Order: sequence, then structure tokens, then C-alpha cells
Amino acid sequence: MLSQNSMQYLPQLNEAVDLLLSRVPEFAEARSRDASFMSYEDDSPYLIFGDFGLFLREQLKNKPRIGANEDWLRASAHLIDKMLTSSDPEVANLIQVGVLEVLSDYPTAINLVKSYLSVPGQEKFDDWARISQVQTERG
Amino acid sequence: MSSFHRWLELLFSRYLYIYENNVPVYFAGFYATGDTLRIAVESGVVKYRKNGAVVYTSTATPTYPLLADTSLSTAGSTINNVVLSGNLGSSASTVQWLVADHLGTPRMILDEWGNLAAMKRHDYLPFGEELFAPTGGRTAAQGYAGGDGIRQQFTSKERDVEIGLDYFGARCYSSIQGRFASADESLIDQRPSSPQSWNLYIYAANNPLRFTDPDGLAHWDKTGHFVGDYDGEYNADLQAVWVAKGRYWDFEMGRKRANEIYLDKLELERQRLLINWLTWKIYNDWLEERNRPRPHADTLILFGPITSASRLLGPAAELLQLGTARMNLLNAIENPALRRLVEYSYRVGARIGNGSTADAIRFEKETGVLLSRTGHIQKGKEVLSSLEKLLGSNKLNSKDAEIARQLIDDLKDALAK
Repeated sequence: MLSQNSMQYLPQLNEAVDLLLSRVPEFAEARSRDASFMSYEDDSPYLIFGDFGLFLREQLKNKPRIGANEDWLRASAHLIDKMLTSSDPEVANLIQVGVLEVLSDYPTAINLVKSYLSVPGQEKFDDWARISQVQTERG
Repeated sequence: MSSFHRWLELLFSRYLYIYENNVPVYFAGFYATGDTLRIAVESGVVKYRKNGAVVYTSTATPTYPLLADTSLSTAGSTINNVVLSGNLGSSASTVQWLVADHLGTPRMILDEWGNLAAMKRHDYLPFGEELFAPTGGRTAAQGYAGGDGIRQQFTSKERDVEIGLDYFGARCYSSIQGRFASADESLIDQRPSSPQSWNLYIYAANNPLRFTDPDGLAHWDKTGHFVGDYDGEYNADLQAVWVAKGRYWDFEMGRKRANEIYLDKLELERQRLLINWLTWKIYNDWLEERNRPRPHADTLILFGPITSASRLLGPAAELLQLGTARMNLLNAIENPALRRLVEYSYRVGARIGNGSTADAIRFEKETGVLLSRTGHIQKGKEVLSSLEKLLGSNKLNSKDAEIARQLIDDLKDALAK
């Protein structure tokens, strides 16, 4: 679980895509390599984060935990945590609709991501799960 | 009145005369205190006995009813001194006294005199199998010889010696097996808490020393009352509740219980009607949804929205609807980019509509309830834009293109509302 101190700032909507591509270069590389990705251009944040959600889902759906050498997955969880607790509702919505909803199809993946969130991040996660009626280990 | 009058007259200093039709026919000597006098029809002939010895045999044929009388002149003499017995027909017949135990089983058979010396005896095992001499030291001299012709046997039921069964009215009973030969009516008084009651062949709740079964239908206690099996038992026939502590049927409580049962039936009927209505509503909702113009309606089967009614049918019904739309779509699409868009636009675990972003948008617009922080409209717009670009790229085959067109129409419809 991330500590609250590790959250230095909360991203805004216009910097969310850049933040994603810079913090998770593995996703950026996969996106540039695979033509089937939805996001042709960088001005469609919901498509880019949707691709990110599908990318994460493929990586996490069969993993009970994140391995020590998978820092990019930790970085992804860190980014999700920061966006989920953003003061900008559009940023939080982007991570909820773009990523969490995609992950929620696989309980293993969604619960793994949740376990790496900070306390405020988990609270925001639970709020979303309740509204979206997502079944997690907690509820 | 019969034409024959047979009577015994005791008079004049204990002289004993026999009169028939008011005519003295015989002088039988003297009468002493303690003497027993008897008129008996034996083998169709009227015989007069004193202390068991025949003192006179009538020459007249008896007619029936046989009228007998005493004329007593000695103080203290009573009619009890005269005993009528014997054959009133053509064959021998005697009066016998049956002395029963607490279950009503005749255990001692006495002759008309009550002589202990001539007593016949019957012993039974708890479930009614008879014990004869020499079992357990019983001897013929004690009266266990059998063959006395007594029809009333275990609990006064008649035993058919040919098949070895006792006739209990509704059913026949096998005393050797301790079970009825046929089953009781099921689902009447069987209780989960009493495994003994599950056996439909059981006799008197397997407690034959305490209960009897007068009619083969239910067990009764030794006082001859129909008893309940457990405290609070409700008997629908009596409309009464059994109070075990007091060992009585409470009819006041029974009336209340009957009323409750009536109300329960009404409630069950109400629930039945409700289920019928819900079933109709689910079908109607499904029909309405199926007939609504949708994307790829010509190639795919889509299910209607999850309603509160369909949730009553349980998780199976929900699972049937959830994910079906996406699965059908993904099975039909060949283009990987279009597949990815559908994967993104349809959720397996969604609880709204068929799980599509379009249905989420419709829900948010119609109810004002957002399913995420700011809703799904922006996502819908971007997916719509991407679909239009993909369709315009001419990279889709005809089937995929048709699916894309219908997805576009669906999203446009949702966003326009």
C-alpha cells in the first residue's frame, strides 16, 4: 500500500495522458507497437486510458500479486491512486471509467490494484465500487 | 309373551318346586342357604340344575325368548341365585367373562360362574405376539392351552389365524413383525423432529405398552383418548392443539391456529399471484427490450436490462444477461481494433442494461444517477468518434462494418436523449 507521503501532487486532466505515458513507458511502447489500440491520437484521454485499462487487465488478470521486478505495475498502481484522489472530478472519472471499470471484469486484477492504493485511494475506490456495484473482496 | 313360562319357585319352608306355564312339574327337594340354582338350555333342552347337578330336564321344546322367573318366599333370596346359560340354539354356547389389561387386551377368560379353576389365560409380547405354553413356564393347567375361541385378542382386535394378521379397521397389523401390513397415509403426521414418524408402517408410535391404535389411523392413550404426539401439535380434524403437560386438546388454541393457517394460505396465494405477475413482467420487459431497435440486432441476441424483478429470480438469471452481449459481439467481430473498442464499451460485471456504455449513458440521463464521478458521456463520445474513424478507414469487412454502424447508431441514440 502506498503511503500518503508518497503522493507529492495530484494530476490535472490536461496532464493525465502525459503522466501516464511517462510513468508507464511499457504501456507507451505497447501502444506504439500495436495497431489495434483504440487511441489514434493523444487528444482522446478516455480511449488512451481505456487502452491502459485493457493493457493492465491482460497483465494482471492471472496474477495473485505483483512481482518484485515489475516496477511498472507498481508505477501504474501509483498513478491510479493519484488520479483517483485528484481534486479534479474529471481526472477521477477518467480513471474510474477508463481503467477501473475495465479491470472490474476480473476480480483478481481489481483487488490487486486496490491493495496497492493508499488509504484515501482505497476510500475513493470503495465509493466508486459502491456506486458502480462492483464486487470486490471487501464487499 | 311367549307361550312358555319357565320358573322356579321356592316356597314353603324352602321346598323347591319347578313350574312350567304355572303348572308344577317337579319337586326338587329342599333349598338351603348358599345353594345355586340354574336354568340352562343345553343342546336345545331346558335343564334345571341345583349346585351344578341336573335335577329336572324339561320335556317341552323351548321357545325364545326364554322367559324365566323366580318366586321367592325366603327372605334373603335374590334373582342372582338364578343363572341363565346354555345354548339358546342348537349348539352349545356359554357366557364367558373377559378380563382385560390396560390396553384392552383380554388376559383372563372366566366362565359364567367366574370359576378361577376353569380360567383361560392369554399373554402377549409388547407388540402383540401371543405367548403359549410352555413359553416362560406357562402351562396348560394355568390356562394357557389356547383354543378357547376367544375372538378378541391383542387390544381386543380380532386375529385372522389363517394369515396371522389382526384387523385394525383401516389396516391390518402383523403382531409378529410389530408393524402394520400396509402404509399409513403419508404427509399427514410425519415430523422432521421425530424420525419414528417417518416410518409409515409403525404401530402406536413404537410405544405399544402406552398407546393403542383403535382404528389403524392414529395412536391413542390407554385411557381411550386420542393423544397428540408432541406439545403444540395441531390436529386439523379436531381443530385443536395438543397440550402435552396437561394431556388435553385445547380447542380455543385450535381455533386460533386454524385462523392462522387460513391466513397463511391467503399469504401463499398472494405470493403465488405475485410470482405470476413478476414472471409476466420479466417476460414483458424482455420482449420490449428485444423488440427495441438496437445495433447488430440482426446477428446478435441481446438481453434486456436487469430489472428488480429479474433479480428475484436469482443470480443465474443475472449471469445469463450479464456479459452475453459482449460475448456475442466479440465472437462475431474479426477486426482487432473493433474488438478492442467493444471490450472497452461492454462490461461483463455491469448492472445496467446489457453492460454497454450506451446503456450506462441512457441510465445516467434518465435517472440523474451517475455511475462514476462525472459519468460516461465523454467516454461515449470518444468511443463514437473512434468507431466512426474506424468505419471510415475501410478496414472492416462487411459484417464488422455493419456491427460498427449499429454500435454507432446505439451510441448516437444514447447521447442524443
